[in-house]
Amino acid sequence: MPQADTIFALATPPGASVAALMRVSGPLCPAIARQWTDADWTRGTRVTRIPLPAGDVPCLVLASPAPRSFTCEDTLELLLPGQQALVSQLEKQLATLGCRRAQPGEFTRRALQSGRITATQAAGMLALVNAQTDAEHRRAHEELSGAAAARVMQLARRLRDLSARHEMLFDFSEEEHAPQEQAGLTAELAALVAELGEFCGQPPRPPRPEPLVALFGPPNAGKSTLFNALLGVPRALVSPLPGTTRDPVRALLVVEGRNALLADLSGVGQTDADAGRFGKAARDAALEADVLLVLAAPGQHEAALAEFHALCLCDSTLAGRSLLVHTMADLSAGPPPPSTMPAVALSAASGAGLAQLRLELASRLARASLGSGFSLLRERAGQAHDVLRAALADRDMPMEARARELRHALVLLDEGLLADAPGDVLDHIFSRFCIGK
Amino acid sequence: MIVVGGGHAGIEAALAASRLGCRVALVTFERAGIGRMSCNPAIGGVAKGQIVREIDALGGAMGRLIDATGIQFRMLNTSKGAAVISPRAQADKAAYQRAAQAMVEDAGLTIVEGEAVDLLTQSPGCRVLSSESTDFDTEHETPDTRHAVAGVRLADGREIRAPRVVLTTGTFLGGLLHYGEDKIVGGRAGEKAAMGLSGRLRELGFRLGRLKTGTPPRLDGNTIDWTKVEEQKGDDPPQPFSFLTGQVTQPQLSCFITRTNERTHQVIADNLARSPLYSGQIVGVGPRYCPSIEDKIKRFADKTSHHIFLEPEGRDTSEVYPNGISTSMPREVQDALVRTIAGLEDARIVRYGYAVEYDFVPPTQVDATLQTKLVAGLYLAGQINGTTGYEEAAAQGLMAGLNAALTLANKAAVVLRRDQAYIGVLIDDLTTRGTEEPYRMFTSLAEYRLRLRSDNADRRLTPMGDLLGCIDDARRARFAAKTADIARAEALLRQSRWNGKSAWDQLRSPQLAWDEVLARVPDLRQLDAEAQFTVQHDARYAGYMEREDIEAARLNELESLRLPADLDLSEVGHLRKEAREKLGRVRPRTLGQASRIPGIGPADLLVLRTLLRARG
Repeated sequence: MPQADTIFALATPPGASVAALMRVSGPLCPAIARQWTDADWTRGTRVTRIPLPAGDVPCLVLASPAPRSFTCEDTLELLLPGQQALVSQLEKQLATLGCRRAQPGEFTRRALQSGRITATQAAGMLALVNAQTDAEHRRAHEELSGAAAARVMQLARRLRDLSARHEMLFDFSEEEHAPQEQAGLTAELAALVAELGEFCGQPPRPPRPEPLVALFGPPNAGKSTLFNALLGVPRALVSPLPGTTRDPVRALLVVEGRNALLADLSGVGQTDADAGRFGKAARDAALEADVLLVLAAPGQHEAALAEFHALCLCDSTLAGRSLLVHTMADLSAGPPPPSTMPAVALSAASGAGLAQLRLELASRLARASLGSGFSLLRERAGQAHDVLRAALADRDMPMEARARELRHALVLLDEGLLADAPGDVLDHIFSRFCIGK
Repeated sequence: MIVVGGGHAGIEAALAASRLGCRVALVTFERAGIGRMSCNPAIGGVAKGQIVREIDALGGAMGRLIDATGIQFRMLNTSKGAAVISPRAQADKAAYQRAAQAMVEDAGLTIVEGEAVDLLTQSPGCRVLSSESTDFDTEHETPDTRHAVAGVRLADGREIRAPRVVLTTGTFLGGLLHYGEDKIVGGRAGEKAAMGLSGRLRELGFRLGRLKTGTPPRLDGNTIDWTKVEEQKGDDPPQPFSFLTGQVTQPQLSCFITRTNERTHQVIADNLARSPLYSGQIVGVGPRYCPSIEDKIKRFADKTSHHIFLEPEGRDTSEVYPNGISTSMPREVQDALVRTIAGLEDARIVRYGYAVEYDFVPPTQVDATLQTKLVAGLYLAGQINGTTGYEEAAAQGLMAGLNAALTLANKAAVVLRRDQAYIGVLIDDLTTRGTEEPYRMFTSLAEYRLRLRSDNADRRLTPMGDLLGCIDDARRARFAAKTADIARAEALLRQSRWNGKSAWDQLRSPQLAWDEVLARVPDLRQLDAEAQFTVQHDARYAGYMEREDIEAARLNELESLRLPADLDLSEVGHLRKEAREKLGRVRPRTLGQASRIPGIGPADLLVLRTLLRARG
């Protein structure tokens, strides 16, 4: 696109790692490549050093001229040492050169707009990136490989046939060769609704405007202290008495430019009279969280994990969006006990580990904002299923009203498949039935 | 204003413009050809009947003409809901023509006999009122850089000057008749074709396409053995089309049904190579829903028999229209195939069936007011826009005539929306999606079918017609009385309760018969029968309108977002190349129209919407 901005985005998770990959796409890429590599703008890789305030940083530059790139635009991929400071400097440098930070999903959107990928593939790609469980992975792969689309296409074909036969009741009622069935149509619709329902299965969690970050753990794990520390202001009452927080406290949290709702939950595993009630509320809220921080002070590790694993039985995807936080690290005698969960150790008193927690939070929020396992195909299939099920359930519904519900469901499926639908029902009638006096 | 063509589109265009106060010249080959039914002797049918009711609700002629001349009326789909109930009637062809001619003469139109061979135009630069407006309270003038039409020149050299020209050329534009291997230049059997105009349209920059349609042989009813065919009676009493007709009084006739058989199919199969459809002689695209008998037999070889409806063409003629055997086979094959059919063993063919190919102007070249995008003041209506059917033609003629007259009076043109009328669906489909085969209306083309009922066409359109100035006193009074009765009936239904529910709510169930309601609410009997019907079905559908309401609201939101006429798509970044081309070709007026262009997706709409927001 000639007038598009040049955008950049970090393709690797923020935080320290061996290498960081920065992707740049847009018309400024050739100029940037020439400036940094002294080479003509051609396809291929160059090892070079990029002048940044920290000094000349070694960098591998991969150039993909338009249209032979993911976005069909001129594209650069820059691989540099994975230090947050260097990445920040590179981002500033790119901004100085006239580029801007990409919106979430903007690369994929450009690929979609240039016709490089289909919307179903784009949705599948997002789902794959965000998949947190095996089931979600499998679904995302289905979407990318077209298996899900093929299944929906098959169901849509049957719905189109069914819809066409409903339409024939009205538009071709005078035709001798037009089937004038009604009872059979209901039975076939019921079968279709059942199969569509099976395909849809458990509905994926939709993305929220503001993802929920919940602090979960035994009493006195330091949840309210961390709550205040993350917010930078004392919002929650803090006391050494267990059970000070009874009702969940919520506040808006901004991490790395991302908004989230931070919830301080009451402690779980208490023994006093009200504990059961408050504990249940805390567990329900924890299950809703897009990012769950499981807090454990020294000595609480096992109790905290026991509570957490109990929760995981209710929602198998929870582990994928949780992070273990060892609090009061300054009071701990030795290193935190090993765990299979990703973990961060911090001390709210000294501030140690807070910065790393923020980075971890930022990358998890980025994922949450895209929704987990979200796909247009499945969303539309689910909506179509709801429409058809309601039509089937209403025994008083006149056939012409049902016919329009069927057409609406068909439009939804076609939208999910990004097919160009209108007129298809008539095409179907003309190709299958002998119509016309 | 000049209307070229005296068919169903031309009549409505001329009468509508005249009703709005225009001086109209109707140019036609011969006065006697005005209002002729070229093909089947019937008006209405599923979806088409709704269109006739809409034409009537806007003050048009077709409904009144068929009511005065119909010889068999049948209401179709009566076992289904009100949304798909459609009137249909057989016409006495000669009487219909006489009635149409009388109406045209009474309206004081100038009838000019001749062939329009050339369009007079003015070069760009003069100011012409733009017709691009969906709301009739807004009016805007934009300087026009198009050629403007200035009149027509006839074959004999006469020139008629006028600032508005409506072309309704039917099958006459470059018409070519096919009888087997024989090709005859003509628009209809025994009539001339219009050969001059196509070249002039191309010269002005129009793209032309070629379509085909066909008609069956006509039989002499005196040579048919009526004892061998099955009788089909009309409705008793016949129900009229027009909201103004109290009752149909002329005597009614029956139709008859016979069938093709394996011998018929054998005759056709043996001679298929001689059909111009299969020999490659015909290049135009024909309608799939009105196939020729050779098409039906070739494509659906498993069917061993097809219905033929024997329809009388009038009371004073013995001519019979055998509906179902449209064919372009050579004449001797037509003779042979007809004689294989029960009851037609000795039938004499009065006129042979034929296929006719004609030029059309692919309709994305006209805007939603039916004015051409290339030449200001030039309107196209009917088969020239790629449609088939008297009703579709008449609807376009009416709208083209109204819009030509409105813009001439410096008023904004009128565009019906898809949720207002089948006419809106028809014109939007044509101008947004275009058509590659002769376009015919079906109820399944209307997203808002539940509200586009034949019984409520007056409620949907007559108030608008009144604002436009095409409703006379009689119709206004009739509409007001019916509207009052509808309101009264609805109030009665909502007040009357039994089983703990109002009659209105209980009508949602199909088990509650109207007769039972009348028995419990006897006051309803005092009210107009049409009003009763409308209220009953308003109540029956009340629970099912929600989806249509939501979608209509969404449509209207998109329709309210107008795309600037001066929008330069090449300046719009982020738009896919394919989308840019398609938008450039159709040049949609609104975001809603853009959304209906095939191949325009949600991402493209998002780009356009963003652009509109940026422009403020």
